[in-house]
Amino acid sequence: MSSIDEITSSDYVLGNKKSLLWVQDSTALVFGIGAGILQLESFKGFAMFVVGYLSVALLYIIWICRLQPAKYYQSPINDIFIESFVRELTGYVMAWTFSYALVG
Amino acid sequence: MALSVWSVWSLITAGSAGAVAELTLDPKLKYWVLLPISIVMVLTGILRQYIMDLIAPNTKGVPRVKLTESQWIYKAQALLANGSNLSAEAFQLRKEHLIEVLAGGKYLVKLNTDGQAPSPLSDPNLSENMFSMAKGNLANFIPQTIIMWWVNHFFAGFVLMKLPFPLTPRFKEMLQSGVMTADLDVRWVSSISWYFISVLGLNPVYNLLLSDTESIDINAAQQPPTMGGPGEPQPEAVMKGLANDLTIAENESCFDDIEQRVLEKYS
Repeated sequence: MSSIDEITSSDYVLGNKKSLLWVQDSTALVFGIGAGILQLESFKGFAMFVVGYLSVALLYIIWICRLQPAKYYQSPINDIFIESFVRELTGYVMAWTFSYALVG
Repeated sequence: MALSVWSVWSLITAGSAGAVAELTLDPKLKYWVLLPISIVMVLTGILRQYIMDLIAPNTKGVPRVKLTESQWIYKAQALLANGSNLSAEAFQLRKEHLIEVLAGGKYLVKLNTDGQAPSPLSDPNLSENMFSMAKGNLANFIPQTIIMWWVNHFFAGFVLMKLPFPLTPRFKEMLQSGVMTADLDVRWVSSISWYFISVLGLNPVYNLLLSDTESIDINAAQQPPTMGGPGEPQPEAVMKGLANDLTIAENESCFDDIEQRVLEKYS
C-alpha cells in the first residue's frame, strides 16, 4: 500500500518544474523592468528582487500548490526557493539594467 | 551618531562614496546601440534553438526484430502468470505454440558478433551522441564569439549606459574597455558589458519565448524495454528457460466447475 504513494511520473515532475520556472521567469523579468522604470538603484533594486522572488514563491505555494507543495515537488524548498535563484537574479538584473538605461 | 548611521546607509544605497559623476548621454545611443544589440542577441538565441532542434539526433528506435523477440518473451511470461484465466483447451493450444516458437528460436535475433561483447567505443550510438554533443557545443560557441566580435568591433570606444548598481573597480578594465578615462565611475559602462549582462540574463527570456508549458511531452521519456543488453540475460537463454517452464506448467483453469460454483453461490 505504501509503495503507491511513492510512485512518481517523471514526465509530470518535469512538467511541474517547468510551470514553476515559467512563473518565476516571467515575474523576474517583469520585476526587473519595473525596477528599471522606477529608477531603483543598487541596494533597493536587489531588495526588490528578493522581496518579489520570495513573494512570488509564497504566492505560488499558496495559490497554485494550494498549500501542498510536497504533493507536486519532491523537495519543495529546494525546487521552489533555491534551484532557480541565480537564473532569475541574472534575468532580473538584465531586465533592470535594460529598462533603467532606456528610461533614465 | 544618527548622522553617521545615515551616511553609512546612504553609502550602502548609493553604492559608492561621493557623488557619481553625471554624464549626459546621447539618447540616440539607446536606439542605435542598446536596442540593436538586444534584438540581435535574442534573435540569435532563437535561431540557435531551432538549429539545435534540427541537428538533434533522431529518437533512437529499436529494430523491429528485437522488439518481436522481446514481445514473444513477454507473451510467454504473461501466459505463465495469467494462464488460469484460460480454459484448459485454450491454454494447451497457446502452450504448445509458444513452446515450439521459443524452443526453436524462431524469432531469435541473429547476432553476428560471435559471442563477443561489443566494444563501447565502436558503438555507433555512442559516437553519434558524442558528435551531437560536439555540435551542440559549437552551436553555443560560434554565435557567442561572432556577436562578441561584432559588439567589440562596431560599438567600442564609448560609454553606452549607466548600470543601476555599483561594481568594484576591478571590473573597470573589462566593462569600460576602449573608454580612455582613468577615473570614471565603474557604473558607466561600454557596450560590451551590456553583452555580458545579456549573455547571463537571457535564459528566462528564451524560456518564455520558446517553451510551450502546456503540453507535457509524454513520448520523450518512453523507450520500449528491450532484452539482452549488457549485464542482462541473453534472450536465447531466457527463451529456452521459458520453454522449459511452459512444458511443465500445470493449468488450473478458473472455468473448471464454474457452473457448479455459480449455482452454489446464487442458490
